[in-house]
Amino acid sequence: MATTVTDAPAYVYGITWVDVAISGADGVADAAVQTVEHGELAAIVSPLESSDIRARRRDLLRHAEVLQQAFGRAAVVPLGFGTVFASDDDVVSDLLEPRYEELVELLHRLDGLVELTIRALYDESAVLAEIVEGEPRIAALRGSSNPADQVALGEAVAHALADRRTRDSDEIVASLSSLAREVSIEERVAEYEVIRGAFLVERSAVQEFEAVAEELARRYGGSIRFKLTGPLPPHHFVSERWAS
Amino acid sequence: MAVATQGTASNYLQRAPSPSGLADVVDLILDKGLVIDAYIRIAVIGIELVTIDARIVIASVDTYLRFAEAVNRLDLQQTEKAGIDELRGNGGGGKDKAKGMLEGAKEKVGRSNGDSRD
Repeated sequence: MATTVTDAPAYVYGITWVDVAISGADGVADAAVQTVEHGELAAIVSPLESSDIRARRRDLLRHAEVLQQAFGRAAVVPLGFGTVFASDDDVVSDLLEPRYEELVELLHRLDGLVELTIRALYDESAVLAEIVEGEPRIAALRGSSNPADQVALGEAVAHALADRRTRDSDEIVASLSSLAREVSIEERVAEYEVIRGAFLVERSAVQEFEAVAEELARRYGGSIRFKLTGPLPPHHFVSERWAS
Repeated sequence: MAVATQGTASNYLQRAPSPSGLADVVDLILDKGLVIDAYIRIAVIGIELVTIDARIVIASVDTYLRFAEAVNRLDLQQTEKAGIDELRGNGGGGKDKAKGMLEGAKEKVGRSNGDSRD
């Protein structure tokens, strides 16, 4: 495949095998995506005309899209957003050459594996209704005009919700983990979030994973809403930092 | 694009083949992925990080009152579960009271929002 070497700084999206044809897509700062190759490896790059770039919303989306597109064809080591080398030559001399063995090994390890992310959120009124119905003390405090009762009510609900979350998230993780090679669970950020995590699974097991997620969604019957995204490049499973 | 799963009894699983918005993408590419110390690293400036809005408030009286308010305004009639009639039966007067409290709470929230912006 033809590789155009430019003098401009090179924005790097990820690393893949050399025979994966990626070119022409619109990348960060609207530049055309191409590859810089070394041995069996290809870095997916695009030229950056100005080094004084401010990332825009569109650039973040493009980074993910370019990786997603390459990942549709072969294993990819996704880089975090924002990595820029001084030139295409520097991508070879500072990254592909010195890290060749590690990158080849990483690509082999990720071969045939995909990332699926799950986000599960409680439906506020459904889960609170179940808590009220399940705990007579809470039901009794409900609607009281006494401020102390209101604090006690809220505290009891908060504890009941926390207990439930522990139980539900353990069950969800256990069900989905049986199909995963690796699991990465994120710190919770939203009040009604049950779980947010990524699962590294074999491409051939994606359907089975989906079936398990559907079964979970059915079992929780609307008190928990699930969102399953993927197959994605393995963003969560290459989160290391390398000094160049 | 996100689509609801078809052909199943479940509408509670949303399927998205790829990240469907900025928040999803931010989750994947800002602190995830291989990070290499390179020539330069583009700073992400001026992009409001949607996920920050959702940070959990540490347990406090305010959190408790928020939960209490949410529970008070529940309309259990909608939940089609057994045993609700019993709850509604002894809560005839409580419902109006709860409504009053809810309005009070809303006012309070409105005011404190205004204060914090000033």
